[in-house]
Amino acid sequence: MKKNIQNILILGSINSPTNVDLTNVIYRTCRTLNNLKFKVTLLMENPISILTKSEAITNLVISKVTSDTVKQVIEDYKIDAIIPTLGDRNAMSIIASNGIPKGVEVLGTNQLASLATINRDALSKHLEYNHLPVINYISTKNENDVYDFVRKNEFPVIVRRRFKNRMSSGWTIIENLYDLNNFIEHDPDFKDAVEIEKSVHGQHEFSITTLRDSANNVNVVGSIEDIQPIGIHHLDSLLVTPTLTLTNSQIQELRSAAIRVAKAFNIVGVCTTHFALNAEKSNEFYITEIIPRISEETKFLETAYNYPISEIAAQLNIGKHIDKLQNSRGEKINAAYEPNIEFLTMRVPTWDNIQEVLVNPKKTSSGAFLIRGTTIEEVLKKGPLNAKISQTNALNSSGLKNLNDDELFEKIVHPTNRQLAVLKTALNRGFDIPYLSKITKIHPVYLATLKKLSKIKIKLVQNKGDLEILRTAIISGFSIDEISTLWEINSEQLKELLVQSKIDFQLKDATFITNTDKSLEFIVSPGKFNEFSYNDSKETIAIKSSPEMSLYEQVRNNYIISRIAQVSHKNGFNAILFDKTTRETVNIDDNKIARVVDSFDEIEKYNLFPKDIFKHTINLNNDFRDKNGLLDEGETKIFEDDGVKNTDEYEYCVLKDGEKWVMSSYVKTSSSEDSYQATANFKRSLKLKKVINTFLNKNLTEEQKKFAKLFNFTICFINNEIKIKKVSIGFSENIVAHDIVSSFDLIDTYIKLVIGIGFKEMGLKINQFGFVSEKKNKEILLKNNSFVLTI
Amino acid sequence: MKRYLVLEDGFTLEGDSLGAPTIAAGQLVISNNLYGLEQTITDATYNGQIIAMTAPAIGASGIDPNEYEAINPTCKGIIFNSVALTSDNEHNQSLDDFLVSKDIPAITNIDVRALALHIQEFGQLKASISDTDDEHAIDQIKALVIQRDLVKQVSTRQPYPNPNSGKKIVIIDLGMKYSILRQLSYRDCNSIVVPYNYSVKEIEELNPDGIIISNGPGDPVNLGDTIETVQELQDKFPIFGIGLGHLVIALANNCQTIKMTLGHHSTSYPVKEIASGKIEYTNHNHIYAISDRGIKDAHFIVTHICPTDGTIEGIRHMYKPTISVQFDPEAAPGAQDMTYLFDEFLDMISSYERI
Amino acid sequence: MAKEIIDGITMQRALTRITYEIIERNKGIDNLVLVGIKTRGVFIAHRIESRLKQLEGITVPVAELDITAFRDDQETNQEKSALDIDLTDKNVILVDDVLYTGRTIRAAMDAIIYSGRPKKISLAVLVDRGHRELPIRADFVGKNIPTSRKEKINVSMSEIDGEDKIEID
Repeated sequence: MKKNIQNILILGSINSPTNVDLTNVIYRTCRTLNNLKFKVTLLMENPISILTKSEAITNLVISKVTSDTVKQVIEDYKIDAIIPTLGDRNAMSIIASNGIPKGVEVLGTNQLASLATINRDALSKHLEYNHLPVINYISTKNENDVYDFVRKNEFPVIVRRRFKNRMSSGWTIIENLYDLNNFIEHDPDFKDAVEIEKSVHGQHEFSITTLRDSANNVNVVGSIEDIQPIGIHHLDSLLVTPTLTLTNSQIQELRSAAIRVAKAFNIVGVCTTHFALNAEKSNEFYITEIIPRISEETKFLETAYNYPISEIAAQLNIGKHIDKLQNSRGEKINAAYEPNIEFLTMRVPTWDNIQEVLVNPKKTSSGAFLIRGTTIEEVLKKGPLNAKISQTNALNSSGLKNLNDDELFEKIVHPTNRQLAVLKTALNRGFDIPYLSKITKIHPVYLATLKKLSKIKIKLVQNKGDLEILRTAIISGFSIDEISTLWEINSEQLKELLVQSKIDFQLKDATFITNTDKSLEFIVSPGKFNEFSYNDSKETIAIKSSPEMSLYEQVRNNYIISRIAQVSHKNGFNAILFDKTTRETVNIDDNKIARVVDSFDEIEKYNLFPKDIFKHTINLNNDFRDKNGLLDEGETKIFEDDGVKNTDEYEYCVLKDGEKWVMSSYVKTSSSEDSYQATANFKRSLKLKKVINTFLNKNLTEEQKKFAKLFNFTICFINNEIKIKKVSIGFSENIVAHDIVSSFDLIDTYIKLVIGIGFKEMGLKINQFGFVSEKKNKEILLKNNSFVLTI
Repeated sequence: MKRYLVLEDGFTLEGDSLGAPTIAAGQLVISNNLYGLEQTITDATYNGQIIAMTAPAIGASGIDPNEYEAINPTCKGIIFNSVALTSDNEHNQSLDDFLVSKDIPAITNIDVRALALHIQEFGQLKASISDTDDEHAIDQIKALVIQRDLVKQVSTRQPYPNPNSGKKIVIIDLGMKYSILRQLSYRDCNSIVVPYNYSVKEIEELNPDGIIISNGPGDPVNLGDTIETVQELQDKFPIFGIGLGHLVIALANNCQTIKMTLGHHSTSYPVKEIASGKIEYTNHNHIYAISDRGIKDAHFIVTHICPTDGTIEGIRHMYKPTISVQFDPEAAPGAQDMTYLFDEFLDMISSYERI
Repeated sequence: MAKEIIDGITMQRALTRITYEIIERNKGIDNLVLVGIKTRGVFIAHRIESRLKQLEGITVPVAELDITAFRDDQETNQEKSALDIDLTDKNVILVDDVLYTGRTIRAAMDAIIYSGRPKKISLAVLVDRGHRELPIRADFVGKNIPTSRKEKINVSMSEIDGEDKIEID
């Protein structure tokens, strides 16, 4: 253990929709450190979602994360050590610029490693010094150097210019001498430095994540294979773990190199190394990037293997040895093992609009979901080729059928986010697999799998009722809906046939068999045993959800799910989440929620649960195709008046049981003051109560009156009049703020309403103005970028 | 084509057939190897066994003959969780072709989780790959007797050299993996591989600098001859035991061996060196281990243990130049972290010579 | 120009091997005392001691020896002082980083014998670089590194130099 460290500062990430959401990781790191008796200070830009578990955080500072604010916080709170690994590139650049005062220890990374993440030169030099294969690169103002480099390294290369203001032009690929001469002609006197690098465009991409402790023990957590080659940003392409197409010698070489990288940069904590592998010369590989912090890759591996990387990394950062760690309950655990699993896990990127987008080395996707399966076929069918997950852009292939072969070929060489659909069409037309593999640089196994899926579909159509092909189709991930449609029978008849061919759907635990810390995630899969059981004497709440389109929705849903888990546990209810994909484990209080992954939303057809399991369902889907649109808690608008406009808008959150209603809190957004306020300190107003009452009595349909429990009234006060601008049902964007400031436990009340308990039974005392008055309430106020939380 | 995995207690699983169309029976072992299909199939430690692999989508990279650990695999059959389509790679053979050419039957799309849960509860069982799952098949597997001469089946008949210019190492072949020879070659060792029942006199005549007792299949108590040979040899030469060899050394010194419930079968399992506290990862493939009892009396120091369950993974004699490890430091397939043990063995030989 | 010839990991393994050999030759570790020659010999002695503790569970005493007073190549007015541990009847293992001419070891043996009558003295060194000027040999050697007289061996240890490595200059 590092001596004399008491106050640790954690740097959070900046507020950006393209950043990975690390809220959950930050929770768990703070909690881990708190359990080990450290005082934790957190510096971050976006406060709202972190507030719920502030007990683990001694000091919360909301502000932009810059060198200056960091220095200030260090002084104010007498910080001894700083953990920047949760703050993505921004935090890394602060460490790299050496802005940390002496006497404050940097944990989890160091100046050299942080510099190597953002500066190519530093990375290449240090890798070369340690005899690790790095891509040849020079930066020069001398024309001779450029040609010398090309002579030594051969085409293709990539070039760019570095301008005096430290910015640079984008990389251009140079395939031959002609292109190179053209490039030089733009600036023949070399006023700006030219950077030139061997191109690894088109090579296969892999990454390996390692954990290293202060005793130099290194453990490989997992390896990720990128199905699409370099040239497409790895977070825009399909990722799969464990790697499938590497031979043993190749993976062992990459593994040894990753271990040496962690040691060479002296990283005590987590580190991910990216490799480019030359497919033609199969044992030639280069290190392209190192990421000595928590990132999308570590989040992926953490969920895929149920191995708590963030909690382990935090303990390694402060000097503990990997076989002597604690879990979140304070029990001793040994983390010195390399996780294993019987399922493939794939990460599928999503774009938040349905336009077709060209993919290139810069990231364009905005989110992703995970899907598991035992075969590649199953993972593709349930994930990117799944029509029930509306965010997948792979499926919009209708336009492709009308293209001729040349036009289709164009689309193959210029890949977009619809590449899978393009490849499917090409394969159906008889394009040759080795040929396609050579152009797209995708390993033939994946192309062969796509082709097989099409073949199975054809066989299904041609052999209606054949039990053998039924079995093959089910194992390859076809849904009951699809098969019954192709066979023109209904699902009952298909279920009969399934019984005849002895195919049973079971729920399989997604935790590796020797791992005693269960993830409580269950996959629907054909098999012999059902591994899921629950106490059916308790009330059960079912939550249905789907992968979200935007980052904010994802944060909101994760928050709601973890709060429901917390509340259900407290009240003795069962909570089961029915999700279409594998979700990152979210647990505020270490209350895990059982998750059933039902990718085709067919859970009723498998006979795995009694019908009344869905008696109390909370539907978090925002799926516009969902038939139950009215009762979606993923915010459904039921009234809007565009004519109502004001700079100040108030959103009141209203809960309703069969007869009465109550306001929990309101959020005031003011565009004139540029402020955001959430509070439960209401002004007493009979007028307001009347307006809401009238609306609820007159403007709801029968179904809404019966089932809707949570309303959001967006109201403007114009000239002393109360005008309703918008009313919606379900969890609004501000639900987190509402829940935090509400005068009573909002989610707890909501859950009880779902079960069927009324306000009276709960003992909720609603006053004549429509709210519950308590002496003191929390308030959140965000104004001009400064934040105040009053209690 | 459907095929069945039938266990001796009546538990059966259904899957799709792959490989040779023959039926087979043997001891079932569950392997968590993630990579290195070729090495796993050709590892002689699996002689007479049916290997159940838990990793998903195996076989995407094809079978590369440069990665074999023996020319002819001796496992009886293989059970797969799932198999990836073969790549149309001209260099590498497809998995199906390979299995057919080596006459190994296999079943794929088996529910390996159910299998592993069953084994965890009921212990090591015999299993057969068969075309039916009826009473007859169950009776047949119940009646199967596990052979006791597994080592004899895979050990070399005649000694053969692997000449080089460095130290002279004799390897007693109990089912040796080729990678042991590879590691010795890298270190320029002049090696000679001898049969499991070579006598002490014959080995002395070869004038070795050091002796390695290799890995192999089966229960070490069946190797009476080899155990006696080792008892004499350990007073005269530096010895390095691997896997089955490690257990033979233990028995030669009056220690006991135990059979574990599930054993360690993985490409990357942790091992902790007690003296330095270092934790590294390497290939394990063993069901037997040395019991804690009697270790001190036999004058052994425990040098390595497994941090997950405390199994003894390495021992060293206090006075004699004998070291041995339970795992496979030559690591094919698997993590290369511990190949340096071969360097340690050679260093030990040098020290011994200086005395 | 200094060139690294032994890296930290190999150095660690050499120390582990010396520890095993010490146990082997002494048939156990009763009556053992490690005497480290300042400065780096002391750190090496401590590392051997911690490995012995891990393996056998017993603490072996470690003494520090400053031999400047006993050197034969310098005039010193330093008082010849005794070691603060009683070495009578003990199995002493003298520990140093590099064995070269042997004069340091002779001085160390003088100091030990001045302080009592040990049962036996053995020598453990991390590096033996040859060129002895006195009839002295090491019982336990980490690495044999033949060198010319013009070359110099630098042993770095993480306790005072920040990292473990052996360089030749």
